[in-house]
Amino acid sequence: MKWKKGAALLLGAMLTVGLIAGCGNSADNGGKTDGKKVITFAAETTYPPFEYAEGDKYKGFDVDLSNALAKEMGAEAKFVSMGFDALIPALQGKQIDAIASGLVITKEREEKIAFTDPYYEVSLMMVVRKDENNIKSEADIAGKTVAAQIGTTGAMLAKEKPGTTVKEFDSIPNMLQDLQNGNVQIVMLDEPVARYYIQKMNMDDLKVVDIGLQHHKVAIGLRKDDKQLLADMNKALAKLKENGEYDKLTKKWFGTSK
Amino acid sequence: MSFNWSLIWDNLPLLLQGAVVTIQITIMSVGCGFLIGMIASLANMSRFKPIRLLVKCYVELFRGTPLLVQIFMIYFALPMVIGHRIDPYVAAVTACSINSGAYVSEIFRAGIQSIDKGQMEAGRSLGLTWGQTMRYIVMPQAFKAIIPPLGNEFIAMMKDTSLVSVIGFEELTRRGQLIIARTYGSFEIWSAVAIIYLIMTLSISQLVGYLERRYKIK
Repeated sequence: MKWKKGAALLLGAMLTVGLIAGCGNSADNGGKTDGKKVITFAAETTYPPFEYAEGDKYKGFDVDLSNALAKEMGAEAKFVSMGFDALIPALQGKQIDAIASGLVITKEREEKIAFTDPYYEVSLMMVVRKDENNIKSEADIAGKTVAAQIGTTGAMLAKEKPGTTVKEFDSIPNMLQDLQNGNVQIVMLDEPVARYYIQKMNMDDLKVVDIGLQHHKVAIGLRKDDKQLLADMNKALAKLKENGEYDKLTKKWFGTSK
Repeated sequence: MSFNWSLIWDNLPLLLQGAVVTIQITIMSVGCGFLIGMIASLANMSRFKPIRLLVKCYVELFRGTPLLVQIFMIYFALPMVIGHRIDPYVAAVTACSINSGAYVSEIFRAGIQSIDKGQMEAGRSLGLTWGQTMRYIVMPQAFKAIIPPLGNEFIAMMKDTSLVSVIGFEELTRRGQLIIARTYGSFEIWSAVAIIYLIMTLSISQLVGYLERRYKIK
């Protein structure tokens, strides 16, 4: 009989803990703390210097920008992490309020969501192994095995090339690992991110090939029917650009003030 | 929110191709897992303690760690150790087979243990060797007992193969994910993916049901 009592106690304790933890979560999602509106920003967080996880915190340009924008609007920013391909469905499904994930404005995306005014420009580059000397230009993508992040402009571009096998990955470290292991020949990445990984993560066996692709405009993604939020955020963004706060952030994360 | 049927129709061929790949990996993994599991469960009955210990370590290691972690280990970490690339298909099947083998060996063990000890003793006293008794007397009876749990393992494996999508392997789940990344139609495509999985798993349970009926009659 003794073990039964013990088991019942344990089960009871587990249920209690579960309930308390559960309640904690739902309070978070209430939308308001201290009467302030909470704006939930989401990103795929293997994308430094735009966003990355350090310890149990998210850091990067987009994180700082989200906080600054929310502050300017008198709200509070909450930053969550999810797969890149999940961002737009999550926004449409009202799981999040805004996408701040180095998201490039494209025609296809504009059909589904609204974008704020652009806040940065990135250009697409190729990452190859250091001993690779035959991949120099965009035309060389044809016929190769290429890794790109799922749903990104890099993946879209590679798929347009004839005879190219495109492997789409969820996170960037995985595709760079696949390149190092020899499973793919090219990784498509945006410029500041490619350089960040190779320099800061000491990936000595890889190099960046600049293919001179057009600059893409990066903006924050919002729901199309969230017109008020779009107007407020554009106003806040303009303010940050005006008062020098924006320049401070670009200097901090990209080393330049664009 | 409107349900866009044409999104499903347009992408159905892609999804079905993914389903074929899912069936392939499942059959390969369950087949290899069955062999590994059978060998492991027989080795577990060995007289030599080190062999039994080895089997126990194998079962505990692969049953006690997530399949997702095993896939990552085999695909991303192992090539760094052996210095040679591993094909995603090989990595996927290897991870699923070894994982499945650990469960199957436990299914076999339970099946064999469910057969009364007297059967083995009777066989041996009639002059059969241990191997003969196992093969002709214990195993056929144990096999009946393990059909239902094996069917379970088959269904579980079919769903677990969705995990190999993390190494960019384009089976059914990954196909769905890729289509959504392009069309953003998550409701439609995930519904279609779920229904395709359901059709496949229901077919397996029908097959298992048929086998159960057949072996009970005999």
